[in-house]
Amino acid sequence: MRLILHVDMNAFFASVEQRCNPALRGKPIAVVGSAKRTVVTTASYEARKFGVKTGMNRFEAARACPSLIFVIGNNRKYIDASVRILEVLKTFSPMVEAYSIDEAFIDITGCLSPFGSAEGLARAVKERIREEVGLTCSIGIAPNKLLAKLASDMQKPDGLVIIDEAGIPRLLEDLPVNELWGIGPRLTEHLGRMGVRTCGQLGRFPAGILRERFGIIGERLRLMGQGIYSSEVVPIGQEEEAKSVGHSTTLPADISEKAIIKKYILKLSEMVGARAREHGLKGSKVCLTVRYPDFYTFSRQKTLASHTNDTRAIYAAALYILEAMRLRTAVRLLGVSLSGIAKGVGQLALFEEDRRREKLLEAMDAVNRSFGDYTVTWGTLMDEGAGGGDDTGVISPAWRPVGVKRVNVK
Amino acid sequence: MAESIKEDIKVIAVFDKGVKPVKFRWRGRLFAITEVTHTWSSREGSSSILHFSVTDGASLFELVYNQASMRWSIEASE
Repeated sequence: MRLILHVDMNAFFASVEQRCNPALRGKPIAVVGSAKRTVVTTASYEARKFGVKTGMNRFEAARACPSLIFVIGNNRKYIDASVRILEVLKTFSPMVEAYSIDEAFIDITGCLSPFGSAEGLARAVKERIREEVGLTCSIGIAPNKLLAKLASDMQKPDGLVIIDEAGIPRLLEDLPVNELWGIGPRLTEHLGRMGVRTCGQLGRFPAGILRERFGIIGERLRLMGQGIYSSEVVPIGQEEEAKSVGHSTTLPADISEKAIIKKYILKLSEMVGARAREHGLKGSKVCLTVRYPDFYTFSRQKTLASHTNDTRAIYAAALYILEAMRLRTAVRLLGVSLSGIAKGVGQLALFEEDRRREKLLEAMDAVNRSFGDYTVTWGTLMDEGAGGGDDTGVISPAWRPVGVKRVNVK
Repeated sequence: MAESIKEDIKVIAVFDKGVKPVKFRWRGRLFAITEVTHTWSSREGSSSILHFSVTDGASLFELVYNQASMRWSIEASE
């Protein structure tokens, strides 16, 4: 039988800030971005007691908790803490999967003997993280990732829950389906309309009907209801190749001027192109995403004649898409991504001008690698309006400690 | 709220299995560090940067050591 351990850092960003600043310890704090229209990225447990939640804007959060202290997040601190935690975890098992910046799965099958038991190993993990990074975590241990994640959610903060094979049916029988990892509000609602509200009901539901309603995931849902989950721990560095490289940004104010929108698109195209070039990736499709102030979001895609990671080619394709759009209002968010990704492909430059363009990008990337991002950048971005390179990004859920998914946000 | 500063400073630090700042002089005053509350690292191009969140018991400071240039700076205080 496999044994999977799930580590979930408790209110991660807020805990790091409380660790840094003793005056914040024990107080309700909310970590927010540096942008004006930012939302709460993490609230401390003291703030959660007042109903402060991730995604609330400053006004909503302050209304829920008048004594709330807002702290502008520092992503570098969190990335560093996450990498240090993963280094600790790797001393317990070589099979460590970084699921997000504050969550990891470890396959601890065959790793128990120095600790006597799974509980002993989990307590050692908690102790090492507390000693070396100064933070607490909740740990769940179970025969698979689905149940390990469920277990770590059952006791917070600083919890430890072990689900053994024999206890699974009893645990799942009356458990609401939305407690399971991957079953969100819409799926829960859909299942509810079919009379399925608990995992026990889901596990017994006819597979044929689930397949008919949900397609290929129907069968998997039934197995999840029974606590069966086949996805294995994917060690760091062995993740499948990225399918796309993308960046998006929420604008400091809703913008309708095309000239300013174009500057942001250039900046995003440079971020995408630079990251793709750093990892030797090229893409054949460029996608532009636009969000209106009412949060209506849509994307349009353009297929290129050949694979590229050239900022200007990405920018030109994104502009082509923009020009074909009829924006009905100002824009709240913009995103650019490159997909159809392949490694080590593309034509050799035939003309002198193309070769010079390639060399220019190589030179820019080399300078920026040595002296920091945006040391050399496009003249258009030096003007006011697109934020240069100084704004604080948000750490994506897809962030990983190595490879193309390691995005260095400030 | 932290005040962004970014000024070069002089620091007395112990280099032994890592770096530990002990005292620093800033704007003519000497500050004795009573606690390093947190440390983290980052990169600026090819330079490795060490960050130290420190307190003198009254205020909180962020000190930064650039390992390539071997220069200390104070980045923020509150």
